[in-house]
Amino acid sequence: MEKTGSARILLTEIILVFLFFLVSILVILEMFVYAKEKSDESQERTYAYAEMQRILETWEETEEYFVNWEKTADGIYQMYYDREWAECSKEEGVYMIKTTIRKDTATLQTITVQALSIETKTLIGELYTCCYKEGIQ
Amino acid sequence: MKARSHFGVGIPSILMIFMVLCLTTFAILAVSTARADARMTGKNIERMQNYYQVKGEAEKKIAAVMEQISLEISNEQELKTHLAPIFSKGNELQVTKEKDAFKITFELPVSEKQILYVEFNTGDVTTCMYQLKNIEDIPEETETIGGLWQG
Repeated sequence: MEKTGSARILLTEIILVFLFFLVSILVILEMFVYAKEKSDESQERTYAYAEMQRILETWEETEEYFVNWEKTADGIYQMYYDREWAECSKEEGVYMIKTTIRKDTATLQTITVQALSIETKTLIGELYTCCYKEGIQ
Repeated sequence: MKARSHFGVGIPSILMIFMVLCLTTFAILAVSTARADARMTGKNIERMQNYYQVKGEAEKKIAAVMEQISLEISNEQELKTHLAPIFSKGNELQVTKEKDAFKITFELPVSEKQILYVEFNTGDVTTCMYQLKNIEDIPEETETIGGLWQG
């Protein structure tokens, strides 16, 4: 009789502990998911800005940088990137970089580079600068 | 005689508390690391954006200077007077005559602690030099470590 009673107490404890553990695991899991999302977001922004910076610096050196880029009717240059931020085709693209070059004066140009996520359709970041170029076509 | 089980009342609770505490610690560490990463990324991006914005301003000033250069100016002081409307007092504009061209240097503030130093030659603007400098000079270390013999 006494043995059955203690077995019942142990069983009740195990059930209660299991339930509490489940609730705790849910909260902890949510924290891990939040950390992962935040980390992924930071990584995405870091890669996007590194690529945008590379584009700005290369454009300042060479005029013909956007030769292989897709050009829209508005004169915006577009390039698609995969998950690893390597250039790819439009169909495989996860990210997109849009570049607008505006001619301010006879010798001054403004370049605006935007990184977008195709999946979420959100703007990741934007960089812009002006560049003095002699004899702009 | 039957062997008694050591798995008594209270053991599951102790195990659960230990596991939950461990997992919570790891989760808090993961969240704080992710937040620190995000903060650092944000700061780096802000610095990058500031740098390119200021560099753009510098290029605008170079373009304006080059327009003035096209007017026939032979004297350093004359050129400085012509450039005065383009630069403010804090830009530390300096003009030096170098053969047939002028060497122009100026500074633009990037942040509270940094400035962008720009140096270019009007004869060849492609060799324009940009340098980020700290506003506060780092004092030279004069003390020797632990009074070591310097020879």
